[in-house]
Amino acid sequence: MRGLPMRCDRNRLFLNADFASVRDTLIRLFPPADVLDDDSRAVAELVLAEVLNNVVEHAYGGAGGRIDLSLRLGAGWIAFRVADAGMPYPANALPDARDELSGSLAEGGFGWGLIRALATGIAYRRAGRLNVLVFRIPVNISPLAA
Amino acid sequence: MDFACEHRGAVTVLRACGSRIDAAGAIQFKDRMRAACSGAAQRVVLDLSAVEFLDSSGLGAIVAVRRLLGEAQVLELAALTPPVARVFRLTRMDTVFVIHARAADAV
Repeated sequence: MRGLPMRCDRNRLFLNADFASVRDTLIRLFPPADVLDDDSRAVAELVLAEVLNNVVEHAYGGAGGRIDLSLRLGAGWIAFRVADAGMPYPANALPDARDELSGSLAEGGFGWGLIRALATGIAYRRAGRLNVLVFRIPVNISPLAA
Repeated sequence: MDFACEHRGAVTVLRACGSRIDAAGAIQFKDRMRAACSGAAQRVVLDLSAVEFLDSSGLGAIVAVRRLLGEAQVLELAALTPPVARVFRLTRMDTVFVIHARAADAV
């Protein structure tokens, strides 16, 4: 799959849980001048990057694994579903909002703040041995693609 | 990530030559930038005009370089593209760094 699907069908792909695979997946899903306008593309790519990198770093703890990514392009949004077989989130819940966007010089901790600022409908559940995270990104279709 | 280094009087401009500062490249970015800063002037301006993608790990790397320079040098930024500017704005790091519209404005 290169670029986002033009139609509203469901697309699913699997990637390895390492930073290089995340980068390759993002470059493939969000090529320049795709169906999304520039702002929407940048926001979608950023949020998905943060989510996938969290899985690599925290759920799998850098030890590797598989990530199951589904996305669906709707009217004005993309819905994402990201599943992994890594460790459950602490307390089986989304991170506390207090950790977000602290403005401190901490090297980490910005990721969830960006996700919460840019995504809607964020929900996490532990399903058996899987973490399942769903979220939506509001998007505009590029005038070139319309 | 390579840097094009240019000394302009009391300022060293380091232009990031890659288009992404992300989790896959954050450690290398930090190491190379720190090396590039070792022979630099007291003011270092990081020109990000070529960078179209920055994630929180890349941001963390830039913040780490700023801290590594300590008191001896100051790190400023220039020419943020819209996607990069968004990350700085949402994390409020735009209030921590001096940010110039263009590298030439910093000289």
